Amino acid sequence: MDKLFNEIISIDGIIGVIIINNSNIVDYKKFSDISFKNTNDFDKYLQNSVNFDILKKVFELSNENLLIYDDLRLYVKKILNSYLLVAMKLYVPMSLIRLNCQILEPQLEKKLLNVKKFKFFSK
Amino acid sequence: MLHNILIVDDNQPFLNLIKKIFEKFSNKYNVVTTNSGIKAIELLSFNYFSIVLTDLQMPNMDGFTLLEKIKKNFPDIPVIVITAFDKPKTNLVVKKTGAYAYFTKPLVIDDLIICIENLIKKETEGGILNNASIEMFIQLLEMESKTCTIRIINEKSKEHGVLFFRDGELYNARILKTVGKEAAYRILSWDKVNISIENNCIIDTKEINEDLQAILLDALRLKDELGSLEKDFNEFSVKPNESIEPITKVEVKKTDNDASLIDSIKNISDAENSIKSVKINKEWNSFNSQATVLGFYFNSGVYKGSYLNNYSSDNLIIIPIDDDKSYEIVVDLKCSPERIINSINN
Repeated sequence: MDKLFNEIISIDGIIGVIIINNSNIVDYKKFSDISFKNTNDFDKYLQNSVNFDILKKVFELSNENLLIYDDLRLYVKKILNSYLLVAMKLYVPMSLIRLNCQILEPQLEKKLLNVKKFKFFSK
Repeated sequence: MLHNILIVDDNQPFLNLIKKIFEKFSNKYNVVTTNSGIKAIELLSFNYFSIVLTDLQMPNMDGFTLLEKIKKNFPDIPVIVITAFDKPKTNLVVKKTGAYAYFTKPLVIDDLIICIENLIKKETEGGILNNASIEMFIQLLEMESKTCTIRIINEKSKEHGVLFFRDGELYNARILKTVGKEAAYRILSWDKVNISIENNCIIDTKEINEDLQAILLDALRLKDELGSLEKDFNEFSVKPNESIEPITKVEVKKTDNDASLIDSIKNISDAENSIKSVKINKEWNSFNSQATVLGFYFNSGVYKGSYLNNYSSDNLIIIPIDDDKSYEIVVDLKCSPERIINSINN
């Protein structure tokens, strides 16, 4: 998965990439060492502080979502039954991220299917 | 031009007195007072100030910590310390931390005014340029390897920005609490600006490592991508006020009349044809609050809104109005959602 996201993560101003599955579990996360300094565990934060089901209900209404804040943007794209989140500073060109995610989508779908299979066999 | 001065002291009678004294200079200075260091930082994060005057002994956040925080986050704003506890060591520590001047109580007001006037003069010692083009100007600074602090006011939006140059290189930039490259991009994307030059740069650590030309190109790209935000700014928002209410944070007011705002949204110059409908909806509250919580993890700042893109002609923009209501704006693919969200929030 790291290889897949190397290019996005290396874009100046990208804070991190996260994949959250339909059970609200973080399947993958990678943060930029330069711009991200939060030492808290995102997985725990998601479980304890965020009601992701509420967000999911809205994310399901569309193909992609953009949450806009004072100091950053969160781009959310539904891929299969998972959600790809890209956190970025405001100056990152949105079109570049959208394009990168679209290019990644087929490979990411394959990877996510593999993760599912692996989880099935590991049970 | 009216200069905002922030005075921080937990002694309310002293604040009242100094405000009264400054009333004589109301044509030059607008005085804002607060009784705590924490509130002072909040005020500095949302308003433009030329000078800060602070006491040293205050509860919660003392003057030393406040001075340190200002030097770190708002380095171009000079701080004058006023204290009743005059000790040679205090004077030394305060000056070492970066205070511009040190006054003891009881205050000789004439000396303080002279000090403030000197500081204001310093801001423009290298000259003033009105209605200038920022790109041209900073390229000249680069060519001449200038060391200076440039204060810039966007003529349209009245936003203030600061650029720090050392030997012709852009070391840092600041707009309110935003610093570094992000601030630089925003400043460099402004169209017509007023510039004042201080022949000195207080910053000696380079926070912006990119080449100036590359930053300029990116700023132009950003300008195109966001659409000219300033264009909407005039129509939509209350301009950053030059006279600030004391103590409380100055918030940009939204009109009380929702219907008129809806009209305003529809009338955003370029977006008029892209907006299909606007309604006020209470159903987005829980989504907005969870979006806010999610953003906290990334130190996102205030949540401004969301764009739900279906790749169709009926995409949604959700903008929280307050804890209770949101604007639900249906737009087509042609619209620039960030521009609409930013305009309304501004």
